[in-house]
Amino acid sequence: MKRRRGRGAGREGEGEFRRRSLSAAVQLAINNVTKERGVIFNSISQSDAINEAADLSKYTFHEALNPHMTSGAVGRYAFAKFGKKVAFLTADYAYGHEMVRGFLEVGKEFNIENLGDIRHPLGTTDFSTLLPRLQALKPDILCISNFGRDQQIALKQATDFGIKKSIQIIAPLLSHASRVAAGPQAFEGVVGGCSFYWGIEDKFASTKAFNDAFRKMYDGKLPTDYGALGYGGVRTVLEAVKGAGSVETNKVVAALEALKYDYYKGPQYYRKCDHQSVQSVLVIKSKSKDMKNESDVFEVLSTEEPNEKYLRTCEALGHKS
Amino acid sequence: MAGLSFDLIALQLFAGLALGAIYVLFAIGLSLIFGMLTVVNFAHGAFYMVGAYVGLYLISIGGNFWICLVAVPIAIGLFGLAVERVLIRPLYGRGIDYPLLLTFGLSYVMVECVRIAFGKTGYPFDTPEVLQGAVDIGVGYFPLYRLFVIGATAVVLLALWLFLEKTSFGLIIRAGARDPQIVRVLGVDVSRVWLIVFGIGTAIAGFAGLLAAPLQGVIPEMGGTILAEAFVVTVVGGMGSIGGAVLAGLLVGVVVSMTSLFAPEMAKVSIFALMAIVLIVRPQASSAAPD
Repeated sequence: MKRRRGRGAGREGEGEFRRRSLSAAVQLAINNVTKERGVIFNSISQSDAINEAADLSKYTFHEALNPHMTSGAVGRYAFAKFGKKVAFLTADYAYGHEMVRGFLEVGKEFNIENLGDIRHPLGTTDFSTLLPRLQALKPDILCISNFGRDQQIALKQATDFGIKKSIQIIAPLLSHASRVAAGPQAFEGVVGGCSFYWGIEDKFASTKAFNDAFRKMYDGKLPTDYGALGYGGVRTVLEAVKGAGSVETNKVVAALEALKYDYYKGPQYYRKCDHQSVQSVLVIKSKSKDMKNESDVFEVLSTEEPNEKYLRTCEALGHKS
Repeated sequence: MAGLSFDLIALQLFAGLALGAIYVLFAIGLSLIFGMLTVVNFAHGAFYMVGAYVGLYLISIGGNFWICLVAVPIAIGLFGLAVERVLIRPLYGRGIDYPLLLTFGLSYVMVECVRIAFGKTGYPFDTPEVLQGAVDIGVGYFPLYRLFVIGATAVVLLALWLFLEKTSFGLIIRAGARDPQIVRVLGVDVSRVWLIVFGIGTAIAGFAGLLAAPLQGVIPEMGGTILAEAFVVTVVGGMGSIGGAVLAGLLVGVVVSMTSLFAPEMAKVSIFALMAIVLIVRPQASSAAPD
C-alpha cells in the first residue's frame, strides 16, 4: 500500500505505508529499506527475526504469526496427544530452523525425545531418499518444518511411502492455498497451525462480516488465510490513520501501538516492544472427506487464545525492558 | 541419529535407483535430441511440464491415467513435431547456439502460456487408485507407484532401443546422426528424420512429465528444476549418448540417495560435484559420440 505524498507534506516516507506478503527473506530485506527510510511496514510473512531488536524498528509491524507462535501452538497440541518421540524434516534455511527451534522450545515442557533432524535444500522436488531414514527412526511424530511447494511434495511423498499409517505428521503452518494445490490425499490427517480459517465465522462476528463481504466481492468464494492476513495488514494501518487523524508517520505508529482491534478473526493488538500482533493461533487438521464446499479443507481442532506468554519475551528478542 | 542397518542401506540404494529411473526417463529425450540433431533443447523441461498439464486436462474431461499414458506422448510428440518444423528447422546449420537460445526462449513462452491458461497455483494429481500405497520389497516398504515408474522407464528404453537398433528407420536415424550429408546423397530426406527424432524426444519428455505428476503435483515451473538435473545426467553420461544417459541417470540417483543418508543437506550439491569430477577426470566423456 502506498499513498503519494502531497505537496508540502512532511519528511521522506511520510504518509507512505507498506504491506507485503512474500518470503521471510524478502520481508527482512524490505524491512531494512523501510526502517532506513522511516516508512511504516506491516509485514504478513512469517519470521521470528523480524521481531528481534536487530531487525525491528519503530516503523516495523508484524501482522502475521511467527514460527515461534505456530510451532508452539501445534507442539503443545501434538506432543500431549500423539507421543514424545519426535523427528524433523526441515527446509535448510532460516524459516525452517526457526520452526524447529519453536518445536524444541515447547518440547521441553513435554520432555520430547528428539530422534533427529533431517535437513533438505530449499526447492527439493523428491523426498524419496530422505523418507526411509525418517521411517527408520520410528518416531511418534514427524514435524515437517518447510512450506509451500516443499511442503506439498513432502506430504505427497510421505503419503506414498505409507508414513502416515504409523506416524502422526505435524507442520507449524498449513496454508489453505497449499492444501488446495496438493489435494486432500497429500494433506489427509496432517495437523498444523494457521492464523485464519473462514470456518471460525460461527465464533466471531468479525469473521462472519469479513467472509460475507469477501463472498459478495468474489462470486461467493471464501477468503484464505493469506487473503485474510492481507486484509488485516492493510485495514490496521488504515484504521490507525483514521484514529490518528493524520498520515504523519509518528502519529500513525502511535495509533497502531494503541490499536485494539477485531477486524477478521477475533481480538488482536500489537505488543509494544516488538510490534508483533498478539492474536489467536488455530490448530487445524486437513480434511479429506465430508467437505461441504471447495473451501471446506480444514477442521479446527483447537484455538490458542491471544496471550503474550506464547510469544518470545521482549528480553529474549533483545529489547530493553 | 540412530545407527544404520543393512535394510536401511539397501532401501536407500533402491530408492536411489528408483530416483535414477526418473532421471533416466527425463534425460533420455534430451540426450536423443542432442545426439541425433546436436540441438541442446532448453525447452525440454517445458515439454515435460506441458505433458503433465495435458494429462491433468484429459483427466478433468473424463479421461483416466491409463488413457493419458498413450494420449500424452502422442499429443506432446505432435506438438514437438510442430515446434521442430516451424521454429527449429530454419536454424539448422547456423551453429549450436541458435537452437539453444530459441528453445531457451520457447521454454519461457510455454511456461507463461500455461500460467495464463491454468493459473499460477499448482494442481493436485492423484496417484491412480491401483498404484496407491506401499509394498514390502524385502528390505522395507516402497511406494507401488515408484515401482511402476521404474517399469515404465524400462519399457520406454526397450522400445527406444528396438526402434533405433532393429528397424530400418532407426538405421537411417543412426546413419544420419553420424553423417547427414552421405545419408542425403543416398536419397534420404534427412529433415524428415530430424523431425521424427525431435517428436520422439519431446514425446518422451511429455511422458516423463505425466509420470512425475502423481509424485509431486503439477505446477508451471515443474520442468525447471529437473532440467538442471537432466543436464547433469547427460553431461555425466556423455552428451548424446543414450546408453551413457541410462547409466549416468542411475548413478546420479544413487549418489543423491547415499548422500541423503549421510549428509542430506548436501544431496542437491552432490550431483553437481559428481558432474565436476567427471568433467575433471574424463573431460572427453562429456562429448561422447552418439550410440
